[in-house]
Amino acid sequence: MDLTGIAVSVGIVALIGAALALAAFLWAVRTGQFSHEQLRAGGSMIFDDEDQSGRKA
Amino acid sequence: MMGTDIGHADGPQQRIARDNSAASPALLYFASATFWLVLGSLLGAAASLKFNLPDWLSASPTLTFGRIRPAHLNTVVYGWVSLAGAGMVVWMTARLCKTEVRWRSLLYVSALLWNSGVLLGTILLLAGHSNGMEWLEYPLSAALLIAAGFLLFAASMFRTYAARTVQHIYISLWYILAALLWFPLLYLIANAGLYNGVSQAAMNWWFAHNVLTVWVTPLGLAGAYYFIPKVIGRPIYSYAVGLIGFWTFALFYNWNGLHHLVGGPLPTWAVSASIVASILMFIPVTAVALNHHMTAFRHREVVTKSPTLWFVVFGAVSYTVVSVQGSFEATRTVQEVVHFTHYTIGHAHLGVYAFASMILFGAMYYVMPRIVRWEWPYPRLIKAHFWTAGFGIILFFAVTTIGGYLQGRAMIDPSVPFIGSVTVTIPYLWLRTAGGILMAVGNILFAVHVALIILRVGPARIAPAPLEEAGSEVAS
Repeated sequence: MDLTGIAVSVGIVALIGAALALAAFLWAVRTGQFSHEQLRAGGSMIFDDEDQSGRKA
Repeated sequence: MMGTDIGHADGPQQRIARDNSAASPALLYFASATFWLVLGSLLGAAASLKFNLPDWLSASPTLTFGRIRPAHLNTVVYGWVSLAGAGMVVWMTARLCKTEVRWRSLLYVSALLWNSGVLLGTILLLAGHSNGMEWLEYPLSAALLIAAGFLLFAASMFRTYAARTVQHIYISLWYILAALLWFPLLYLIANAGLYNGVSQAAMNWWFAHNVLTVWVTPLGLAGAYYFIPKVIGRPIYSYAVGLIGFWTFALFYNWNGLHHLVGGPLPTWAVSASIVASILMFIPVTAVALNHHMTAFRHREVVTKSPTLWFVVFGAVSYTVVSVQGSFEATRTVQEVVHFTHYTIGHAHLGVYAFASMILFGAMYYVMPRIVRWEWPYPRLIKAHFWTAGFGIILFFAVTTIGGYLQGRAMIDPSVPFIGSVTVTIPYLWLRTAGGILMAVGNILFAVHVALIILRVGPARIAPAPLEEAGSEVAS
């Protein structure tokens, strides 16, 4: 494959990747992933009964 | 079915069921990763020793530097880091999605294919069959096995994600999902064999940098964002800043690779764009550093007692150091001195070992007792592992950085013959080998401990082993 062909193919892959990232970001915004409530409570979602029992290390 | 719950606490039975669903696949990944860690460490120590004793083991072509060195690099990245990362991801995904792991049978086949790929690739490398491109040395047959193993692993993880019972995506899961998308794209394009000449060099360094930045790094950051707050028992310092960090990470990081070709026959704009993106990495790195360090610093009394946090916090600090160093290293002023020197080797080890591997060690110290339902039997072994590995990598990094800088200055000085750039590194190369051997010793201690906990050998403990209580084992 010559340099132009590579540039075109890599460019297409890059655009697809960028479109996927943009789609993921827009999906996250639309579904409220960055809403005030989720930003406030999201950091605590990893805690469960195990943490309440005091088993940590 | 996905609920609207952000993710509050649920009952112990559900958590136990989720942990159980992840246990066997995670154990398979962790155990095989530990094997590759030991093999990779020994190959690395041997390769380093050959700088000091060039004739050592030179009679056998299999054991020459040109074969041992890529075997070390590939077993560590595709064997140890990738497989241990996969084990951590399986376990964390079940917890973060609050559901049981789906399509588990794919994970067993994945581990088989992945390990077969690393084994075949390493044998072929030692037999003299190499692609000749750094980080991509495995021949296509081995690369395809690894790619197939990864795709099955990713399929299971995406299916588990799709079945999640919580609406919110925790920040670690963002990094995991991104890495699951990025790595196969990267690996398949790089192994497609479509490139030659200058474009091959550009592709090689696009891949070589990105395999660290969009595969190894997200694994490490996902682990740090989970285990630091989890063990401390408090949320991270600023969750919103953490998310800004993730999205800027996604935006800037994959542009970085071409700074390796400063001075090469590439369009200047391409290299400049890569350098600018490298500098822009200060934004996500600052966000990550703020979160990790402030969370750990505010609860430092917990950090001093937890084996998991010793390793994870060491890794998080190393991430800040390697990232800041990397941004400066990408500039033309620094590159013209340190390129083609041991300095770059020190930088790579800081990323793969001091950052990613230390976080993976910490993750395994947390996860393994929950998988095998047996506490780590010998806290002193954990301490010994930490100090040998930690001191080893600090020594290695310091001497390769100083020695590499002096080497680079000698190389660009027209009044110094080339051999002068070699002799100036000799004392540093001995210390480099000492650092490498220390890391290998630490890794072997870790592997022995992993074997003991899997076999449930040693004193039984009734509770996790804080480091400060080393030696307080309960008799079995």
